[in-house]
Amino acid sequence: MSSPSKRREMDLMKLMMSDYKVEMVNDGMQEFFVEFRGPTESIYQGGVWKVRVELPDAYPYKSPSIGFINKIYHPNVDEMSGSVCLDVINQTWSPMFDLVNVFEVFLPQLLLYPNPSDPLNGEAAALMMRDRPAYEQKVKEFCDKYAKPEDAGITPEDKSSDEEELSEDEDDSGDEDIVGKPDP
Amino acid sequence: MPPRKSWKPKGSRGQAQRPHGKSAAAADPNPAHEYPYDASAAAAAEALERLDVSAAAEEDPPVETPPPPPPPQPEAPAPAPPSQPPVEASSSGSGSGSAAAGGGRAEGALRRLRELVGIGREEVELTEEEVRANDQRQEDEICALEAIFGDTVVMLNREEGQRSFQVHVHIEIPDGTDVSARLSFGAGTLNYKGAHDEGASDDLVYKFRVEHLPPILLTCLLPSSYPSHQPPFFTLSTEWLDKVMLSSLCHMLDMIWEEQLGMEVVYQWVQWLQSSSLSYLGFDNEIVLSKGDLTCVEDGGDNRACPDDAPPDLTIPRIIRYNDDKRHEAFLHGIHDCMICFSELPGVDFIKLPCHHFFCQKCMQTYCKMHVKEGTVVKLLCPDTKCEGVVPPNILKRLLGEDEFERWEGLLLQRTLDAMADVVYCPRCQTACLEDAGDEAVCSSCLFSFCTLCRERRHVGVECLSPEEKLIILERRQKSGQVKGDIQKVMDEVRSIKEILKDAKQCPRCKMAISKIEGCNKMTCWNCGRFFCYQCNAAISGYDHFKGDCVVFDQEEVDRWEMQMNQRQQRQVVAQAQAEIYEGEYGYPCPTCRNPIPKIGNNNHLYCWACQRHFCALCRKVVLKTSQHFGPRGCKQHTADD
Repeated sequence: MSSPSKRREMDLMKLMMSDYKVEMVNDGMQEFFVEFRGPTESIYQGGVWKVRVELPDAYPYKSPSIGFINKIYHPNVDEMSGSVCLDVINQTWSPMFDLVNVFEVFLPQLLLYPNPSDPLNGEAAALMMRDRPAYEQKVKEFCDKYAKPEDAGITPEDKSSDEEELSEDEDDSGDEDIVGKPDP
Repeated sequence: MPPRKSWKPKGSRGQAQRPHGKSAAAADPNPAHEYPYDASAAAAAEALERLDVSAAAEEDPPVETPPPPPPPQPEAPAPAPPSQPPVEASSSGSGSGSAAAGGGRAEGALRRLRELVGIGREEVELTEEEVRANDQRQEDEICALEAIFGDTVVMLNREEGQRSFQVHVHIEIPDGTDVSARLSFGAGTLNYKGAHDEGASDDLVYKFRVEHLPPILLTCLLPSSYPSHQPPFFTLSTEWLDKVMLSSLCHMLDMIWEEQLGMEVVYQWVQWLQSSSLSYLGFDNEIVLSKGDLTCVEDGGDNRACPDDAPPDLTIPRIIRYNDDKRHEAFLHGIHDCMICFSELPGVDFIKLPCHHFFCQKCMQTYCKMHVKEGTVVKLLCPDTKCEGVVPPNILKRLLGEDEFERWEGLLLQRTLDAMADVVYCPRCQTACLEDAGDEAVCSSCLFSFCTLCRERRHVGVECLSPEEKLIILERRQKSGQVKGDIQKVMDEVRSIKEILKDAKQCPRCKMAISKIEGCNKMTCWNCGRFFCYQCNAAISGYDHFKGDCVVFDQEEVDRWEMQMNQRQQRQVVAQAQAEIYEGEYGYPCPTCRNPIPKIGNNNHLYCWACQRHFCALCRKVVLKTSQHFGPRGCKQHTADD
């Protein structure tokens, strides 16, 4: 590919600009973690998940791989490894879609409308078809147990380390001293 | 006296559009105009539609995408010597008032000019010096014109020592302009409505917007008495003005000459035409096409006005097409962003699809090649997210190599035919044939009558042979020596089919053999997409079928799940036990699923019970081969914790 990095950079930047916390794995821009909140008005509301996004070489012609790091109970997500059933995103993917689309449209849609005809988590699919209230209950349990904000702890890119914060604080207080003094 | 007063089309602005649209009825309160329903109105509407279509039809891909060697100077105006064929390939088929006919136009105008020479003008006696001076001034003027207006000034053949040229005057319309025409429908064709046909019940107003107007052609012949005594002979012509309007423009040009007798005037003429002609004609907001009824003008119009006189269904598409060509040119010259790779590239590097979306050539090529490689050929769609446009075959041909294009064609044909349930291939000559109602077909090329299920000769009333029966017959044939051709191959094939059918069921529509490895009994045929029940092989539409005798999950499947669940539960128990033993100890997060796994003793080789992967505590990477990862050169297998 001629200039793949420009597209990736733009997409990553757009994602960060849309107020998603992003954590890079290395500087290669192949893989990173994003904090994803359950869509409001769905049974996953309130849950916070750490989602691993991997951009394939052929991105944007191929869809990115999505995986949930902390547990989620969903018919199209494998409970143990967290990988999302690829076909659901693959089939409708177009090179014009970007990462913001994935987190604003695809994932919420997947959570709101699971696709039981192609389940990775067969048990969840079967439970959903058989006994909907029990399924919803289980989803909520999993959210409470595994999808708390602490579980999805992401250190965003722009936050500095602890040391620097301390020294900044000191400087601030120094400035205030100087600024506070009124002119004679 | 300006003839245009009688020309301002009354109340044409803001009036009803097409007959089946709503009637604005600004000037006419009569509600009877609401919906003209007679057949002629319908025919007229159709003719109006055709105006659009013919404009679009000639706009096929060769116009939208630049031809492989980009034309050196994509120009609609005629090339320098009028007899040369047009440079731009895209307008070669058009035969409109642009490049192709441009040359012929100039000739015609010149001929017309020669007819005018000497009519209505006195001969002027000039001294030799004056002739020479004029000659020099003419030459200078032409030089200046060429410098200012570039190749919109076309020199024509010089005859009898008199210079002649044609200027393509492009009207300045910075934001574009609306163009409308009041039309009537009579004798099966569209015509311009005369000003006096006030039978307004079948008002057809065709309106469209352009950013570029076809130029006004000002053809000049410079006599030896110009510029000292007489103005140049000239003619004016263009597609979108009629005789009356052109005449009034001619009149204005005369006046401009009168203002500055004896001075070079062509530049002023061109300037005025470019900037002020539209408002002079009353076309500030909108240009109205019409035919120019000469009965209301006394002098029969100016000789120098040479209108097109073509009917609206020729003129309007020409104007629209000129606009599209110019817009495309502007696109090619500009720099645009590709929405896939975000690079900024000049227009020529882009490919425009029929749905008007455009992407850079590299991205389109990668996209198409990828799909052809993967085999998702059936619907190669426009990459735009909501657009359902397809990538047409001619663009594909340019982007893909020959081999890939052939592969695409072959796959497309195969997939389409396979998905059509009633197409079968003749067992003898492989031609595609259509299936008849009773599972039979007759090959159109070799006339073989065969049963589509077993692909043997037609057997009315008798069931197909099962693979076993076929094998027996074939074996008997082989033994008795009645061998026709390669019987071994046929037998092998039958044997394979027999094996396949042991574990598979056939899709009820396309008969593709599908075998189920795992999952529920609601099957989706990967070939044609039909749902069917694996238990009874019937075509189904949803899960309702399983309320009867067939079950969604066979006992086998349920047992398998139970076993898997048990395994998981066992692993969980082990993990919990481990957690208790190593309580408080640090758990190394598994690289795949992040579950914490404590070390056993000093061993850095860890096994994640959740995702069943091995990994190394030191480098936190998945370990595939223990001996390779932990060794003298790799990570140390046993280290004490810090």
